[in-house]
Amino acid sequence: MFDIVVIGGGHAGIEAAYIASQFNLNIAIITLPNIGLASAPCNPSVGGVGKGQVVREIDALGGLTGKIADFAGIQFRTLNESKGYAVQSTRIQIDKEVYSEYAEELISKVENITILKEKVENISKLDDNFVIKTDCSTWNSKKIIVTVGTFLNGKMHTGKDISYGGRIESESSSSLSSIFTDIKTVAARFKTGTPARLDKDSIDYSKLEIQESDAQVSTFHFENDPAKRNLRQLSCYLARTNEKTLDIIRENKHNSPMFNGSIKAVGARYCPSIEDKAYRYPDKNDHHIFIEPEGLNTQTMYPSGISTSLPSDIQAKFMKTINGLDQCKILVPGYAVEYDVIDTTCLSYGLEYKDMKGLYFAGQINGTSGYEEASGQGLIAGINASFSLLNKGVFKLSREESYIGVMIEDLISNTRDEPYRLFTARSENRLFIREDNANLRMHSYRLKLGLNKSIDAYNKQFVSTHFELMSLILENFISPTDEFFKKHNIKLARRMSISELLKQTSLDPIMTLTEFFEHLGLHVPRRTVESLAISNKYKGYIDKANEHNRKLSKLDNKSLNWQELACSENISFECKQRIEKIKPETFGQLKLIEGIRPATLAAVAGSNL
Amino acid sequence: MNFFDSEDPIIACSTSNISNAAISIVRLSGFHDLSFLEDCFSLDYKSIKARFAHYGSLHSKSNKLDDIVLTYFKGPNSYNGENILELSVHGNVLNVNRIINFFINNKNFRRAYPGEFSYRALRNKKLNVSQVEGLDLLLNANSNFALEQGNSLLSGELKSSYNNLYKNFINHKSSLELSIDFLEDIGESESHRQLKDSFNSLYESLLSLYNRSLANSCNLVAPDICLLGNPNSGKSTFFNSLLKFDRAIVSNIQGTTRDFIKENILINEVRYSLIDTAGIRNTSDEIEHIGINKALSIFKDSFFKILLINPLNFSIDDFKFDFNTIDCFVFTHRDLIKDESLISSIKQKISSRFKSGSIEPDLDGPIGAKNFGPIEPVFFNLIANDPSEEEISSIEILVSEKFVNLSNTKPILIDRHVDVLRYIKLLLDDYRVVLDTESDISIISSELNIIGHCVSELIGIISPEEVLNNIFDNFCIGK
Repeated sequence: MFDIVVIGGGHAGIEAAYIASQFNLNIAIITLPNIGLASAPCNPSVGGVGKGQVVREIDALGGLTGKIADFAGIQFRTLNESKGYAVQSTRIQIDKEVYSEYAEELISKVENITILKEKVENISKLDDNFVIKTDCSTWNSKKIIVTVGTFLNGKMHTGKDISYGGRIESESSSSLSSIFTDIKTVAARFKTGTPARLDKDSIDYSKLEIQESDAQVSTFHFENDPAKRNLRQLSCYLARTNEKTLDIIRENKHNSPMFNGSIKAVGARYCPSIEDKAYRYPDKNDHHIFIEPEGLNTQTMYPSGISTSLPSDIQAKFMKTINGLDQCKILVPGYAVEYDVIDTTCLSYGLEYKDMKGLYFAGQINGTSGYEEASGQGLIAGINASFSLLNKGVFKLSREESYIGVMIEDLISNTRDEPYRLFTARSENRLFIREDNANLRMHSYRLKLGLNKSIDAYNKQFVSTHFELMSLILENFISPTDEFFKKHNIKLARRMSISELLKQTSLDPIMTLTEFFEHLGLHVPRRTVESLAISNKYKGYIDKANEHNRKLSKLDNKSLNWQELACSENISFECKQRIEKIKPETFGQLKLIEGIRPATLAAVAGSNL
Repeated sequence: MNFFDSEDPIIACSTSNISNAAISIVRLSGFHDLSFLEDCFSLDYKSIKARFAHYGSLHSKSNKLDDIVLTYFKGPNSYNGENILELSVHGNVLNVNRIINFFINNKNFRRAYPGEFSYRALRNKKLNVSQVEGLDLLLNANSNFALEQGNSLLSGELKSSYNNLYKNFINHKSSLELSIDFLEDIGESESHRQLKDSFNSLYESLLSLYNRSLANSCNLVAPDICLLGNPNSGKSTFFNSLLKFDRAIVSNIQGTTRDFIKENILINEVRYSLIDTAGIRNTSDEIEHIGINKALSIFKDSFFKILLINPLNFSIDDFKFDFNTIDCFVFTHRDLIKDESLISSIKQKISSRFKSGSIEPDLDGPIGAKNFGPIEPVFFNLIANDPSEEEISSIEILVSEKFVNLSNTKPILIDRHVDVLRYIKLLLDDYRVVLDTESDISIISSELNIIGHCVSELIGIISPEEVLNNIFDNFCIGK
């Protein structure tokens, strides 16, 4: 009997299993044979806008993604560099093979995780536990976390070629519906697509714009030196489509499964295939394509921006019209995959299926897209399954303090009609939720886990140093005649606090603070300096925004009795239907439900429910 | 003490109960069913049909209270969604009160708080907030114009102007988000251009609403015509003439009018308040002094300002305020003036007090309200005691035209909206500076969020989902 069985060994699966194992529970991961753990079936990168923050949150909570990404990183970049610290995000291109191998290594080293490479055929409930039948054995478990990604009834399309599987060269699991007939899925199947993979030796790089790895970019994992690079660094390249490329695509509309009706599934509007772009924007022919290496030793290059499901010969044809790709060779054609997705409004804050206790869902099965989103959910599901076994209540991250919190609440509050991806726009608190202060934000949450690992000591130290130094810079003043300025050639108008000095627009806060600490002879770690300088810069604005938000969100934490609401005579019929479906637990959640009338909110706000 | 979630049955007189009328309507709401009528109404309550008029008598034990006509509106098909009973009763004030008290003392009703029926309509989603405000305007309008505004709010005309503001706001917010989350897809210069363009559209749509809100709302809903002048300048005489009856006391003694006198006057179907004030002069009399301060204060805020001048006794220095705001100068005691130059020299003095433009000395001079400021001032030469019909009606025409001009700009009258619009403009002016000078886009975004909260007070909450939807629908992004 296992305590928790995780079904699926992808990004969500390994995070769930790893964090659960920290509680000394008996964990198993069941994954299809011949597939490595945490493989990267799509874009070989971790991080990015909105996602880098998630990776840092996972790291601050004791998860794995940041550590593995650093280890396998072959190109490091900061996105939105010129836009201000709050929106800067780290993005790491990874070596897919190294990533997967390292993940496997880390998981195998954990004594209480058993890795089973078998195909699951049936899951049933026996009293309070679950019985899992695979093609070769039977297992029992108290809790199950389902992280099967795109494998549920996965159907892949490349032009007319249809095959079954969650991705190339894998079998598909049979539909979840046949395993649990009572589980509600979203009516529409979702789709995701991936571009063709090109032979790296068939590309003329001289015709493309180069993007080198940036040595200044900091690593994700707290134990790593910010400048540490484990592998040799590679560059990415920028190519562009042109009129000829788009002409071919437009001429072949009838051959595209997305547009000739073979695929009825819903794709994400923010991740359109090249066909989507071609048909929706008939006047635009110049699209960016980022050519990314998939590994130090892999032959394939990943061209980001032209995911497609056109027939392979057409793919070859339009690729060759691109400057620099005229001689390119396609090693694996691009394909689209449609799959079943769970209706996440049936899940609680802990990602537990409300009508079947003990069953959890995390990752792309919930209709999200992106490895980081999956990892974040895996972490939450893993913690909550463990907490449930240890009678510790629900572990919930606030949407005011984390992107993971935003994601979970968005997912369980509304039925998704397209794949969900994190953008910074989803958070109302962008100034506060940043990469640099993840440890500050996550500290109190990690404490709730009650564990005693290196991350716990690190968080504690980070937080106390932060506040000590913050007092230091607020309370200490510096005058224009100070030695410090002569050395660094800065002109100061009058005497001011260090905090104010750092806010001067002519100075770079991080550099100035670093130099200042050196000047004082203090040895402060780079991550601490960065976080302090940036927090200081935004403090005034954050306080102002909080003031405004407080007025609006006083009500948000008010907990509701949704059953009484669903019978209330003061609420319209449609609103009651939605309340019954989603079962909101707080006023904030009620607000998020699509279609709730202001009058309903007013009625609930004034009531005692 | 609030009634927000009260479900008590309530009762009130829905027609004015200040003086006797032929019929008054007493309205009851929130009762569970009609069974309470069992022992007090002459008809069997079970036979009462909704939306039909029933004639019968109300009695308390063996005392007959009144013969009434009763109409039952069964919820949710009623004004506020609850069960409503409307009783048309004889409109004697005492009778109405007796009937209301009867229900309060014997039938578990309580007196409704002001606005409580409408509040319940809001709560039961029969009306939205703007409609309630429109209703308020409708009920309290002093003029056709305000009546129309009330109507248009009830039907949502203002709402569509606000929707335009909303759309522009979302577009600007989207362009901001675009430059954060999707910079790699659209490029630096394009994102910059969109930011600028969308802000300009936003500012323009706000500005047009803002200009509409500048008109002093009080002035249009209940406009005052105020008479000001030195003592014995003929104000009270003039007042009585306009009013067409002798309301104010007139005498030769300076300081006759000490308090202000306010009467209603109808001009072109618009009701104004005509106000006579104490004569402005330096005085040691405390009461007169109070009256003078009052006069100046009323004059300052009134819709149409008339300064009356007795050329023989005009002290221009007593009037320290901006002469640009005065709509009309009236010269009185014409019959006592022998020297024309006296009048022209006074006109000179007045001219010099003007900050801009010249004055039109013509009786029939053009009248045009430029912004919302005063019309070009007009001078009248008047006989002391007996202005002619024509002269009175020309003044009335002046007043009317100013009112019509102002109304034609479709000002916004709801106080709440006016406040919010003015606040938003202030915020946007500051924000424009931030947009131009700040390079950290997250700070810009944070400032815009604060503005967003204010905008949502007019048009509803703007969620991140909506912004994202707008981006996906209208911009070419994504890898």
